[in-house]
Amino acid sequence: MRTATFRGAAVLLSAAVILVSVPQPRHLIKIPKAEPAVWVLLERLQLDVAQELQTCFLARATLDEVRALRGKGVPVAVLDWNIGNKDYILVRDPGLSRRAILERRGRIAVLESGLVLFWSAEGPSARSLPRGLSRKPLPTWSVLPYLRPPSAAPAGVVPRAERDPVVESILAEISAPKLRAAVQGLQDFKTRYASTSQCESAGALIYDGLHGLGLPTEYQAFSFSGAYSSRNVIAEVRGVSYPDDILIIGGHYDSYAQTSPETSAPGADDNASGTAAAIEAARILARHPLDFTVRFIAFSAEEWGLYGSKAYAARVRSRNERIVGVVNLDMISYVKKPDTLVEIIVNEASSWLGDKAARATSAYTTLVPRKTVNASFVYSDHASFWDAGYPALLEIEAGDNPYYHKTTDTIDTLDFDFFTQTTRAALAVLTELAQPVRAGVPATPAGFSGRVVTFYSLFNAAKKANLSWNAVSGATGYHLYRSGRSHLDYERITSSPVAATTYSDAYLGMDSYYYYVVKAVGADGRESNPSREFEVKPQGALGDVSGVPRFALIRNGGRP
Amino acid sequence: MRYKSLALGLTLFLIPALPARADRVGVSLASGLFLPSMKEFREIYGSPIPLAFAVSWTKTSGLGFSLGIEYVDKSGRTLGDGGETLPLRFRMWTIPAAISFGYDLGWIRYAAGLGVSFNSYKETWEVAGLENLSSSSRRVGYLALLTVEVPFSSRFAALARVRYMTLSTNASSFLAQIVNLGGTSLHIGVSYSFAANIAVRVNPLRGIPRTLVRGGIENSPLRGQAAVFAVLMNRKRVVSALQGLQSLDPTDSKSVELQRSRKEES
Repeated sequence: MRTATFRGAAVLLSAAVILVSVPQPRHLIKIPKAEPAVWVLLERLQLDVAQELQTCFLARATLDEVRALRGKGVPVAVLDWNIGNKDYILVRDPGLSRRAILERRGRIAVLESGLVLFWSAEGPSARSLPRGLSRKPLPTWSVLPYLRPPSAAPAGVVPRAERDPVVESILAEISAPKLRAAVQGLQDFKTRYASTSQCESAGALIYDGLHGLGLPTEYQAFSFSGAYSSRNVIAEVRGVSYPDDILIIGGHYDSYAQTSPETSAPGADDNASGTAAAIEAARILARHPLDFTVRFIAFSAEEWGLYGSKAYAARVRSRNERIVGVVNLDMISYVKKPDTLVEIIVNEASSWLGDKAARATSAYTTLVPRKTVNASFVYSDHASFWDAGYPALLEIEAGDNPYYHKTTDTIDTLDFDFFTQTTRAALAVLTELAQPVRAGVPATPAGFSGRVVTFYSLFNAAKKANLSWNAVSGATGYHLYRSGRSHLDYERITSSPVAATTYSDAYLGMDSYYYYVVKAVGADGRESNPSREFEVKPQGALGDVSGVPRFALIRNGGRP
Repeated sequence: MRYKSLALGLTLFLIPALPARADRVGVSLASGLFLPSMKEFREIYGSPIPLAFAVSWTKTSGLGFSLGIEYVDKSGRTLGDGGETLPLRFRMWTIPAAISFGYDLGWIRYAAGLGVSFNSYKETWEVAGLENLSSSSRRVGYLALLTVEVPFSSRFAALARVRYMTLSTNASSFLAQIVNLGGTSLHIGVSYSFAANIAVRVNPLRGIPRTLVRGGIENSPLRGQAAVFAVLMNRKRVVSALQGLQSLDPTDSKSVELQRSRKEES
């Protein structure tokens, strides 16, 4: 009897030990954005956020984290109770009839209008997914550090930027015949489906074209979907003042057509057009010294799930490179006349870039830009940069192309007037950000950086930005500029030029972003190009978050 | 409204404590160290030196009530990154009220008690342009205390007091989810006390309490509550009565005589 009792106790004890030692399974959850406290909760719980979408987040969470969220009144939905080794793919909703196909091959969850999540319990999900569906794999890392809450920036029509004659002269170099030749050259491969040798040959053509401009050019090889490999093509114009601050313009050069992608996928609009515009930008900017470095990239395997851009974004992230912004061009040459609308799509963290592009488009083209903040528009290469925490925009034609993903997507369906304008729009924003070196003004102050000093009392806090830069030969002083929005709307904060190469801006509120640049002032009072930007990030209080919007507990600091 | 609620709460809380007969009335003045519970408080302001004044009533049974006022004023420097700091100042008024139970061994008196404190605090940024970062509010806290008195004359005693006070401000900041101004105070000082009797009689017909200052003892079971009402409704008379307490000191032969004669009269 006693032996039996001991045995029973031992079994129970073992079971308890096993239960305690087995790690909690992680769930894939959907967190609606509607609750204002969600932003703070994500940060407070340090959730493993896999994806930001327009109306929700997808996150990997333990049961305790799910309970914590629900305890704060957040209506969390569990999409998959055990993540295990599964991979998940965002898919543009193919409609009810094709959804049934997806359901036979795996599992789906409708996330929001026009967007479903697909996964397979048996093997890689990408292999179970039918071809031709716009898709994007969920990142396996947390994108939490890159999220930015919605700003109070005014929405809608953006003010038109002033035309800069230097930028204007650069844009005048855009050649419609060269755009046409580039598209024709890519279309002539019959197909550029990423798994084919023609795609590889198209990459070589792009490489030769960029290398022929005298630019340092390289391939980046990567594998995708288990059995295939392909290459991105990357060229660079190195910046004069800030060579380590990089702007990117690019588009995917692979193509797809629904019927026979291995043999016929001309992809003139999708996306020989974007690739041709990036090559044309390289041709023009290669002749102009710029303050910042510009990279021209032709991505591959976008149609398979953004594999090329994903590999490239991972590389720059691992090298900790400073990417100022990415202009992704995808389908920019088809229009139904007399439409002049062009879409500029960004996420919240890239909103400034969208505004910058919209202003440049208004100033330098005949197009009407429509900037949209839509984190759910993840079906092109910009999304890979969003996942890596870099500002990126997608420029895309507004109307539906009836030849999309068909063998009839050929050069004769394109509108080269519109195409030239969309290329101008892309090159305009790129040139404004890269800053052509100007004659007759002091050099751009290099080495601009800063340090934030924070002051905490029991109840409040303030901070100060200590800024410094390298002296500019021939400059009589420097003006400091500050803005609440990156690269936009700077206001001068120095009433007269400062002679020193340091400046302290005290005191700043804790709950706002601040962006600084410095300009050198010449003897004639003319100012140089602005330096690179120094960002001061906001900091949240540690208070309880139930129902409290972010930073609501914080008072603004005094302003000088 | 807030103050009325507070007054009512305090009154109800103090009803059982207010003695119908107080055997000792005392006042004390003390100072020492305030050791804040919150680490960041200590880092910014160190350990402020409070100045405390208190009055107390203690029954022969050992049950007592004390009410005090305390002030802390301390300068400090901000915490933060970058090696630069800014000047700060912290001020707090505290009104502690406590019930205690103690023993008088003759050569030493000691008591332990619990109570509440009403606190008014203000933290200011002593920098031009940052005045708007200053914070002030009023909060109620809870306290536990231990007091030891060693008499060195019939009325004077050396006093040592340890008091732990919780004071959650409900304010969130960059340093803490909830700023806590509570902590432990170590006081040493001097107390002055004298024996006294306060009696209260209730007029059962009118239901209105009437304050009496007599040598005798009223044994009404409602004397505690009656005393509260008496104090609230007859403040002037109580004050005037307290002014006459000196003459009722039982250690004073004249007072004893007076008490006896009043007892006989009653």
